[in-house]
Amino acid sequence: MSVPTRRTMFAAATAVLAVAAALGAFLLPHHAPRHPHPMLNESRAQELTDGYRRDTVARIPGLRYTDSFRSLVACPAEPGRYTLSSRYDLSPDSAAPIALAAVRGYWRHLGYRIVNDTPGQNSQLLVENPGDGFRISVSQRTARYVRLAITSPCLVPAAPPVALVLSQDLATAREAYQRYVAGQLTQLAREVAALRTAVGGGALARARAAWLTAQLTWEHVGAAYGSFGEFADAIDGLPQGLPRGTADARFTGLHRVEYGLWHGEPAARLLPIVDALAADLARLRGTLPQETPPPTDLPLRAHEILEDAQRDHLTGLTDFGGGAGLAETSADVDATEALLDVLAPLVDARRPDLLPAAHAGLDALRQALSAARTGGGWSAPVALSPARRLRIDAALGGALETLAGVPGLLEVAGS
Amino acid sequence: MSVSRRDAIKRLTAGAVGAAAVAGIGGEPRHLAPRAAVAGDAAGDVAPFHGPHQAGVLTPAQRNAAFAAFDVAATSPGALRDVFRALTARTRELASGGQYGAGPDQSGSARLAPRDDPDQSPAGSPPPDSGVLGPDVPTDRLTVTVSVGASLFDERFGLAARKPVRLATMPTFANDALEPDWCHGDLMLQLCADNADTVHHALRDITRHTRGALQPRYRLAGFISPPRPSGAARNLMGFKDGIANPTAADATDLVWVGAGRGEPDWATGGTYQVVRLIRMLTEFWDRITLSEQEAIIGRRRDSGAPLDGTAETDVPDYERDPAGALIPLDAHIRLANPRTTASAPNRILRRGYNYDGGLLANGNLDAGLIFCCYQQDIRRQFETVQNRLADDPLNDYIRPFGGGYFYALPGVVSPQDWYARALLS
Ligand code: HEM
Repeated sequence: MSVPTRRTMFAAATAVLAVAAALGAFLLPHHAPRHPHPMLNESRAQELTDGYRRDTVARIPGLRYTDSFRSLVACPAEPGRYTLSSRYDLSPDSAAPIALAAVRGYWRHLGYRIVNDTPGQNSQLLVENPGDGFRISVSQRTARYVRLAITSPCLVPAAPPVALVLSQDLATAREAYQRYVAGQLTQLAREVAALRTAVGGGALARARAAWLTAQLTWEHVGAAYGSFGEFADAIDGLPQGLPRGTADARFTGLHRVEYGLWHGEPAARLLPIVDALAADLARLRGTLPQETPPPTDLPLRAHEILEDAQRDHLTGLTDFGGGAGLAETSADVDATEALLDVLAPLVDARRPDLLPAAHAGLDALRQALSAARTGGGWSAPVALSPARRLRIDAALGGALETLAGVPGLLEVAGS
Repeated sequence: MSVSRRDAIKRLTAGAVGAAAVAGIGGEPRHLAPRAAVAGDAAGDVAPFHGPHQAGVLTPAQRNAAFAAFDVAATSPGALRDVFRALTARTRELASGGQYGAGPDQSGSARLAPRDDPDQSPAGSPPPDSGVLGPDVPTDRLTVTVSVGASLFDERFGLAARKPVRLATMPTFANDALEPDWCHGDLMLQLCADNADTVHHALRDITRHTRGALQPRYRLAGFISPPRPSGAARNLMGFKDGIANPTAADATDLVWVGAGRGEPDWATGGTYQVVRLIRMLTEFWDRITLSEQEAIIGRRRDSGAPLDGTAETDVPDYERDPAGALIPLDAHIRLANPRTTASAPNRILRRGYNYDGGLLANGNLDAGLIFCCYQQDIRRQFETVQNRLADDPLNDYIRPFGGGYFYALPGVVSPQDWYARALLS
């Protein structure tokens, strides 16, 4: 029942550089074109880039890709416009200098202008297609390293790019998040101990209350989409993907305890499960620095924690008797708020209106949820009146749409 | 009005004759001459029915489909034979526009649905045809592909020893949230036609003619979109789907079960079918960036080109991209088909349809993919691919909730033949 990790997609994804200097070696200098080219948009520029890349690499024998990176770079002479600059790192199959004759001949045949043709040790072949203003360069840096760079003419992007996040910024955010998680897990350890006492004491109502307290603290951790890997499965796993479902031995952790407490399982059967939970939790606390998701995953969680709530808590997928879907969703709102606090400096610097809108959406959701509170507890999502349910679903959907703006804003420079 | 209506019923008898013949009530079965061409018919409008393999596997995908699972309520081997005879008669009739009506039907007798021959029915009986397709039933490239599940081979009909050796009950995979009401079944019918009304009409006709003996278990309607703007149709995630697929030339190696594969003789010419009902979390998907979507699939959303190419038809070259610099190592297309010599025998023939239904409990759209694939060997093919997809980042955006494993029967080879004849006699 391993929940796959949502992709960290920054390796080959779009990055946006507002400062040309940060791009270093692979910016191909552009002069204002003598004949202005028809205005390209980013997606057409991407298509043309793909074509130049493929045509070039196909004509140089024995190359394999090792990395790729693309970014939007401000056009120095034309404010508000950007070039799409792509860099591909390649490794030749043999140590001999790469053979450029075929690609050189091909470009000449197409009428490309040769801007630079330096042979030997630090070879570079740089051409420009006068038809569209694209520049293509192949350079051999070392025997094992060839770089292909392709730069579009100046484009008008759909939206002005934002400054890339430096990985150090996110690493700092991750440390803050990890401190937050560590605090929650310390509390959870206490609560699991209390749960054990209650289960052992045979007081069902107390045990159920202790379970809910612990379950909600785990929700506060905000462990969406495979963060904490197999620990999350052990501590908070679900039976749906297991061959024997709720009867499967691999169904362990908090929801397994919930299942037992609402299905008349005797304390003697439940205690080992609670003990295993305590042990798994202790192991996670011991390895938390390694188990905390990588910095690049953190922005994704801004909406994923509540995506999980929508998919699981509000469809009954995580309800094994306790009927706690709303309480869990409410705890997920808290977790999301805590994460936004950690990311706030980075988000505010790029889109100052985003977090106020997100907090407003989360407040609306919180209100819709508390309207559905009954006395001291929560009604199960299935027991809600249609009007209450509709308000919660609407508020959650609205909040998610806003939160989904965070990850694209916090893409990381470099790969 | 009443006169023309009466005529319509007379003509529609063509549609009911197959079963009437099956019913064999009193003397000669009645047949009508082949149906005259109706408006909208065109060359290629009929998917050939008779042959060593069933239609609907290699048949170019029609635009609409229904996947309907059934359980057999009949309790005796004889009654089971009647079920398959009736299925054969109805399908033959519906899929070929009456052209097999000309000769005597020798598929045997069955006591299903005597109500279908108006000349045999008591006066005042309900009309034999639903009328959904009007008075002239078009063929509309209809195919009905009949498959059987492992449960048919339990103790009820004494078929245990004849089960296809690789047929099992679909297991639960890691990302599944299977709902029992949407899983398995004694029988699966895949009905496909160019128009949705033809599919519905066929399903209604078949359920009516097997009522009491076959009980529907679940069903889901599917569709394939027109090219937008060209090339393969898009699925509901916005990506072109069905670009890379084995062709008829690969069918002997990948699709049809031939002799010498250790399968029972009766199974020759059939193929294993896997149906997976997969919900897409479209709201969540729409909330992630385009670059993330493309990295997950491994293709560009607009053009369908693999991320290392420029056109939909470009073949991804993983050898040139061993580290996943262009197409991530865990991209869906790369995991699903790594395109190595070793992975070539694992390829599957996909023949899926979109579905688009109501709402989920959380108010989100219930939409997704009726994944269907055909293969010689489920373990070697589908399960190998599915297990490679265990760590597919796409899994976060989908939820399989139903489906099953089935064996698509060998084709019906002649007007005298019927589905599962070799299995049941
Ligand atoms: C909702 C779920 C799924 C979606 C949205 C999806 C989507 C796609 C897309 C967009 C493609 C690329 C287009 C193409 O090559 O046809 C593709 C290819 C493919 N998919 Fe899926 N797929 C899904 C489930 C599955 C499953 C369950 C399997 C098999 C276990 C599978 C196996 C394949 C294979 C074999 C290919 C072709 C890869 C190649 O030969 O390059 N897919 N899928």
